[in-house]
Amino acid sequence: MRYEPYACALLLGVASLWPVQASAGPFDLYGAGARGSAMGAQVANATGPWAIYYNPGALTGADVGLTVGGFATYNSAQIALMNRPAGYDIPELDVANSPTPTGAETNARQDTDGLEPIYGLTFGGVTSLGTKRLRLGFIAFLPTTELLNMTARYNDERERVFSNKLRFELIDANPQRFDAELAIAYRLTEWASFGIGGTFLTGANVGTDVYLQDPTDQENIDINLDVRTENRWGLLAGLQVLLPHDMKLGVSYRGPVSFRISGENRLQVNGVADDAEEPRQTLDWTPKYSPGSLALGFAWNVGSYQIAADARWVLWSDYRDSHSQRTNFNDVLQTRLGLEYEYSKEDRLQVGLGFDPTPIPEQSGRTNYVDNDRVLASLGSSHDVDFYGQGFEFSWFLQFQILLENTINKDATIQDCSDSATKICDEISDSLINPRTGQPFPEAQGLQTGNPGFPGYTSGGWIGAVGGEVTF
Amino acid sequence: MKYLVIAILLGGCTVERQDSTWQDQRFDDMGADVGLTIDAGLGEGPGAGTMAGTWLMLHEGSTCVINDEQLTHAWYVVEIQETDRVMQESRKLCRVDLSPILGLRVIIPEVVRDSIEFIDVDRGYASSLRVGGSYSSSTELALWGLDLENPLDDVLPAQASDPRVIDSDNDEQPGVTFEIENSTCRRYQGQRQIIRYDGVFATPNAVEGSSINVTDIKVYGSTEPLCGIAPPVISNDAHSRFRMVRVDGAGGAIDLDSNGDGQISCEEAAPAFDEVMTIRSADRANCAR
Repeated sequence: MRYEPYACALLLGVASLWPVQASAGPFDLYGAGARGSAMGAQVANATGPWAIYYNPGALTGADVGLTVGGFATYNSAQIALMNRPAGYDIPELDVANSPTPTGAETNARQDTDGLEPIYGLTFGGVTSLGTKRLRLGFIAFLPTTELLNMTARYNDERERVFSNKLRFELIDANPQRFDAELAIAYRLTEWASFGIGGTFLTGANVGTDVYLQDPTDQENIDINLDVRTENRWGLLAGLQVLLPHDMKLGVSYRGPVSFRISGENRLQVNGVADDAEEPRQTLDWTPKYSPGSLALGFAWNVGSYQIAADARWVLWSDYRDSHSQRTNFNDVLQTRLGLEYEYSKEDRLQVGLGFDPTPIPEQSGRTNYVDNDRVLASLGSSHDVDFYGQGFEFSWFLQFQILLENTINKDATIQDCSDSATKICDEISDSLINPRTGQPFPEAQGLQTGNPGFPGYTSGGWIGAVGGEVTF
Repeated sequence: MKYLVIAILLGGCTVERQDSTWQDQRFDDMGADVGLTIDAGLGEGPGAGTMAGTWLMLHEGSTCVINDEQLTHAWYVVEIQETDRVMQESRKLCRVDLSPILGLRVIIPEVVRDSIEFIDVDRGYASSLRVGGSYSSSTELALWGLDLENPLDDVLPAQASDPRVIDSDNDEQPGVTFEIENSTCRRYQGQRQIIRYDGVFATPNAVEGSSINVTDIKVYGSTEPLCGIAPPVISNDAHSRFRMVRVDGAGGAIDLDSNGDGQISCEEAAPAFDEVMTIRSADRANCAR
């Protein structure tokens, strides 16, 4: 039995009127800290070191201490490819440089079933440096499976000779990375605090020098490697304002940060004329990218309840895909709604709702950037415990995100393949001449494409995360 | 209740494959692969009692390049003058196709093909013109972009500046210019090709057999470095063959002299190209180490 995606959303009770967040890094996708992951909305009311992520200005309210936690994701995200109609395969032609025929690929065209799970540890710390108004803190996510998972994929017909499948552009490999952020905050007045910091990613300049002694034996080559890593920082800044009647307002900015690998391969081939210029192959990948964003948050304490709402404008229009190609993604507005209920002096329950619109426009043309609108629902709680005179806070969260089912049908408008082609493109020109007959190839007429996303696909499913932490 | 929700989450939101709106695509018969046909069978007829006349020959030469087989299919119009079973042969190269190596196919432009100089070195002979009789051709010696004092023996010039390297295709580049199919890459080279054909008469108007090939190449430049690589071309004579058929109408053979001028041009012979011999595709196994 199959349920419509909206039915799934209703069953979970997570329908929301406002869009929330598309995602990149692990914190971007699932939230930072147990309370943040459970409530969602945190820009005005973040607590502990996790304020660094949501609003560095709110760090001044954090207690001095350390936080250690664990984090795991789970999912059932799927991309089901439509069956290909007959007559569009790449034929085997006796012409040099013609594309690899259909069926001769390394991997068969296949659906995508699931994402790699992420397991990791979270760390946070806050110090006052002995002052009352100042706070300095850090947060980090350390994957325990793979510190950094970097893969590049083409998002068009070129991927056929590689994985020959589609992948979720923003929620698959992107979140699997180390994440570290730090900030310093100062309480300017009794009602206003300002914080500034940075989020960190590395980058690399990679080059190889290759010498091919025998062009007929390409398995034996001499290679030298030249790798230089570099630090890339994204700016974090935020302001928290305490308003009358137990209300808070927060504004924050997160700068874009990416892991980019660039460089070139220099190739020497024995036998090439002495005056010939060495072939050079340019390398340029961006396997990790977190967009810049500007957020506005509001929180209101009403008795034992705290109600919070966030709106974040995420600048996906600057996004570069894993091959560092610019895209036509849209900036999106994400919102979240959170509620915390203090049902005893030591115990608090949190719930959150949200809706993340995809920044990726309709993929009816050449590219196959796969993403879905997401509906979020989350739950968690925090508990204060005194243990041999030492105060501890234990927190946990559980989060579900429904990927609203999205079906893409490739548009019938076609183009010849070229760098500038944006429509589904014909990999074999109709005018290609059979050198033996002097006539065009009959099987090359019309559209021939190996694009894994042709003639269309459906994506959907769900992703989620569970985690806990202790603060002392 | 929570188990119900979990069950719905785990099983209820499964993505189902949707149907495409695209229809199957069918191809109109363009008649492109049918090829031109001739009425009479090539090589048929009782024979003219002499080899003198005009013959059409297809040579399928096999060489090994980078451990892969490269086939060269060359169609010639051969004019034979016979004196006491000894034959003087003059060849006109009408078309030459090379199979790709590592996905790159060398194209020999028409202007290059027409510039090839065939040098008369010796004579061919035939022991008998009856079925089963032996034929040994004269030596086919061709220089491409070179002018050597001793065409058979001289070492190929090493430098493009050597005056023996000539721009025989008049493109202001040394030697002859080869193209790479579907590429702007060009290679400038000189080449010496020596071939000898040995066969038997399958019919009085058709000779079939094998060949011995020696090819020397020297590259004098290229537009891109990788095009300038000239890996060794190793003869693979065990997989080379040829077939030569009479096409001048003598001895009951087909007459391709369509304009009746007494000469058979490449254009007149072209309709019969596909009928001379069934050609094969390159097979890497033929060059296994």
